[in-house]
Amino acid sequence: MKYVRLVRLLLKQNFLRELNFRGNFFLAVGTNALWFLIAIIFFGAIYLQSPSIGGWSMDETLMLLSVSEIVHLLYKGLLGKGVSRIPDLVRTGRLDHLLLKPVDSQFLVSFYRVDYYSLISLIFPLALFFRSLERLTISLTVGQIFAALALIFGSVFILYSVSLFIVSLSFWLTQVYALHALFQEVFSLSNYPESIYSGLLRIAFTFVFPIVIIANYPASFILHKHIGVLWLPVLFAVCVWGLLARRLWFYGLRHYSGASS
Amino acid sequence: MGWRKYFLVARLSMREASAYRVNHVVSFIVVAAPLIIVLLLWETIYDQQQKIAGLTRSQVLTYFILTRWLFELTGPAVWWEITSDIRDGTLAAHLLRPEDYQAYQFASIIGAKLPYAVVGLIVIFPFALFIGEAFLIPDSGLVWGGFLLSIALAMMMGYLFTYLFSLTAFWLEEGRGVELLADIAIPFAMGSMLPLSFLPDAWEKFLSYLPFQYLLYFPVNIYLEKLTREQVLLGLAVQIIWIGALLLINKVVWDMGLRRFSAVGG
Repeated sequence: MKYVRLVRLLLKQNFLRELNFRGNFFLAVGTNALWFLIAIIFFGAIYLQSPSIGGWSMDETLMLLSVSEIVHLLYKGLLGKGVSRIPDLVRTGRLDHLLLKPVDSQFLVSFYRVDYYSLISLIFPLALFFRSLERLTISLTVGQIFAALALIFGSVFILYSVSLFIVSLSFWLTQVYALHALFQEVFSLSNYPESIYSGLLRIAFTFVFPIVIIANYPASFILHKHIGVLWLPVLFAVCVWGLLARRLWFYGLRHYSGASS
Repeated sequence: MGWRKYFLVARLSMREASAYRVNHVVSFIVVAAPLIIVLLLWETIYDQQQKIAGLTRSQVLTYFILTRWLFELTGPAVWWEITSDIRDGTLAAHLLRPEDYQAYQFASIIGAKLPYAVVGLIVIFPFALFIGEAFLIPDSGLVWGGFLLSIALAMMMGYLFTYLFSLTAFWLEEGRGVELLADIAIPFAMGSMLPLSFLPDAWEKFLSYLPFQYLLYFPVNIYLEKLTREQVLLGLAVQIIWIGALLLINKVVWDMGLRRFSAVGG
């Protein structure tokens, strides 16, 4: 209960804070819209020349693109700002201040700041999502809708856990920015159809760098597309990455000596 | 005599950049790693077809490897050193020196980029191995000559754009709008996301009138031997014309900006 109240307070405080910088609104939302538009043009141009990408039609791929974007924006909107701030907190010692609070430290650093611009930008992929749903004449039962939501939020959690794991390395390494950037670059390609991966690379991109899981699994489920065993890899990734990230975070905290020493 | 000081600046900047070899390797790996996924995507697209948008599988794979490398050399950006010189007033110190600021920054940026380019070749090499025989290497000396010349011209063009974008700091307190343009729209117009021949004809034609494809698409097309000798010569001439035009534009913008700069200072 305490945590629900905390989240509400943080949401409110962030909202008031953002109202002070209204000029940023168009720039931030515009950036997201432009990236998304370019991604649509990218796939549109490919399908102009080729009828399918490894068994994925244009509408299916656009559905995948929208799901991928929804997952990324949810992560960026709810947790991304907090996670990417961690290396700075550790380096400058400002983490001390947060550790004093009587709240779970992982919770506090993660929910540090809600990025409303990313959440508002969700309207672009959502519009594409519903358009694709209509064009593909897909209907989902209530149970399937909940399952799809579970898969999407599971993906957000996986994305969050992998990020937290990487930035937690900043307790030992001074420069994790490059690693974090590399991770973001690779994960930004989660909107490519899973059929491009085969063999060892498929295993690697499912279990080690779970980019196949975070967008292709929810999208395939919604599209009623066969993707092999669906829930097992998702549960595996959620549990393993969630645990690894939390373990490393606390292990790092023990290693952390604060600003004074 | 006048040129020697700029060579010195370039050499100093090169030496400074070389000191950060490991950083260069890391940052190039960051740029290049996603390439493996891009290559897998295009391998899959070419599963069913021999030739798409006038390009064979080998040409497309080579295209993406080469553009990833070349983009780091010719892609325009907002250059932090210039914008901070303007914003915090350090520019005044440069103005007192017997140097041309545009030439000084050119020497400094090119000097910084050359070691990066060499590192980039090393990072890119495994990707060429990854696609094996599909990686095309032209055997005509003339093609290589045209390719290298067009890269040199593209680097100058890229720099002149970088300089122009950075000069907006004279007017803009915050340059994120310009950065947005430089980071998203221009790379697309250069052909870094996909070969421009994949786009609808009208778009391709429109983009061919803009200067940006000469930063990337044109040099790589020379390398892939997609152009006739006349087209290559014409393209090189267009690059030179754009360099001339940009020099003029930059001069005008610089003079305008400087008036504003001294007004603030005085």
